[in-house]
Amino acid sequence: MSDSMREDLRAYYKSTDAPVDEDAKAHVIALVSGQAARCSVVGQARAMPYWRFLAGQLRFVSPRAWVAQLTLLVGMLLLVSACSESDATMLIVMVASVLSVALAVPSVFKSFESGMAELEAACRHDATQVLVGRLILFGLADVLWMSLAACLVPAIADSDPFRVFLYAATPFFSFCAACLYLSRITRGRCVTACIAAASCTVAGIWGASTAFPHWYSDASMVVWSASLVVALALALYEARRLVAQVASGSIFRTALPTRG
Amino acid sequence: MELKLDRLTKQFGAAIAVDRVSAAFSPGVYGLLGANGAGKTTLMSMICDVLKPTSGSVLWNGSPIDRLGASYRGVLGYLPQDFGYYPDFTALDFMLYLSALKGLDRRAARRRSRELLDLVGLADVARRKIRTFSGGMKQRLGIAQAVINDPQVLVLDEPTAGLDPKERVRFRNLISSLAQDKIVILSTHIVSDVEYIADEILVMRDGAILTTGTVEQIVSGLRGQVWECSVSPREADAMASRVDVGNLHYDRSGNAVVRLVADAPPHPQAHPVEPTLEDVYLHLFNEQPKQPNDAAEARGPHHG
Repeated sequence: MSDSMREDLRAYYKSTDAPVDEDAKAHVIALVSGQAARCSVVGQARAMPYWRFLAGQLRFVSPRAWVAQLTLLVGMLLLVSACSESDATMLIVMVASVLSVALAVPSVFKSFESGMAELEAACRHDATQVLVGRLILFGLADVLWMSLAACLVPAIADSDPFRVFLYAATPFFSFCAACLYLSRITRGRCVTACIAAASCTVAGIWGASTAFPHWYSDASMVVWSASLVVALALALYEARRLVAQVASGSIFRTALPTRG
Repeated sequence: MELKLDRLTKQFGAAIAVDRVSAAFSPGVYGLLGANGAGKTTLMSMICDVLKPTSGSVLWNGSPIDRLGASYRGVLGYLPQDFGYYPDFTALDFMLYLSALKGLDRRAARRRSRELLDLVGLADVARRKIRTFSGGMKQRLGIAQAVINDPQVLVLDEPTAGLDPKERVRFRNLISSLAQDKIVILSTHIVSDVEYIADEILVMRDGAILTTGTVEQIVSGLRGQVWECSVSPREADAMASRVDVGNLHYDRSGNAVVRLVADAPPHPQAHPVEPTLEDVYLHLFNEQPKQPNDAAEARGPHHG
């Protein structure tokens, strides 16, 4: 096409152009801007690996929860170092392991206690993932706790590391199972019940050792090991049931038929 | 963009909270109107994947949401009727926490949180603890978190409950401004909440959808059946025992001004009036004709 023809065509179409509809133009610009803004937000919101989500959740765990766990560990080690009797040492380890669960309960179940769980349930990373995430985070913290106990208590009290581990892990998992059960039957609002249960459990452990001296130390390693396996199985069973209850939504207040 | 409910049912034991509800939603504002206990919250919980249905399904662009899972929840914004908050959270903490759950990265979450807090008028109190907020402020924070991921489906369950009239109007205007190109489903038992902003109304009772349509379509069903008359208090009592009286108030002269729904004029002095959505609501949710005592109570001790 020659330049002159091109110019002729350009002039022709320019002369026959309809006047610009400014309102329509502004509307289209607004729509495009809105879409661009949406893309800049939505583009950021994508599925992330679960480990990254877990790491992100660490930011929202109150530092007080970690300070409490650390204080409990330090307190246990100080008491163990002040004790001379091996039976008393083991009793302290058992009580401390129960208390470590009780200290974690408010943080693990705070979604349900505070009424946030319904909001969380409708998010990309839903209430189930939040609960499992907290169980994992505090579970890892407790693995660290028990590992430190199993390493340091024998060094302080000259006792068998495996026995220390059994004395820590068995009441730990038993009480975990109890708290998970309480959480399920109270629809997640279990902090008060768990604290009461912790008090009764600690009193029971101490009372049993007073009524039946050497009862714990007289039980064989086989009995302790079998008890640990049962406690672990119960804890896993209750955790699975609780997670299923959260996933189905039956734990929420909306599941009550009289509402809405 | 289409959200479809296919014979959605939720049963709790023998009680049926939602009974085979089917509906289709495309971009626009939908008002879900019903009395307390109608099943609105249960229905909304199922739409938001918070509660699993007993039967039926919710479909997003043709795919069941239980199969889509996180990718459906990623386009969802939800404001429950009574939402909680972590007591030690500030407004900004709350927004950042929910941004993390909705999958936004930290930089985008921070920027968007500040923008939305400014939009809902909470920028000045972003670093204040939520427990110090008034009811209206909490609701505004709730709507801000609901739209932080720019959802395509926005579900608001009784968002104006407990708000004063000024806050309710502000909230309605906020919803209207945020409703561009979205499916907004708003449940309420307050007629005025949806009358002005909803493109379509779904009326729900006893777990089922009674009727759907625009405000005009719904009220047109009662055209010619809504009457108003000014009568003596005694006549008002007698009328209340025979028919459902929608509205009853007393004028300065002591006469009862009665507004009701009836097939035929209930009184020689009754004249037809243009029906409103409130008339439809009262007509549908009045279970029994009012007793004479109800009208007497409305008069109060200083009348008749």
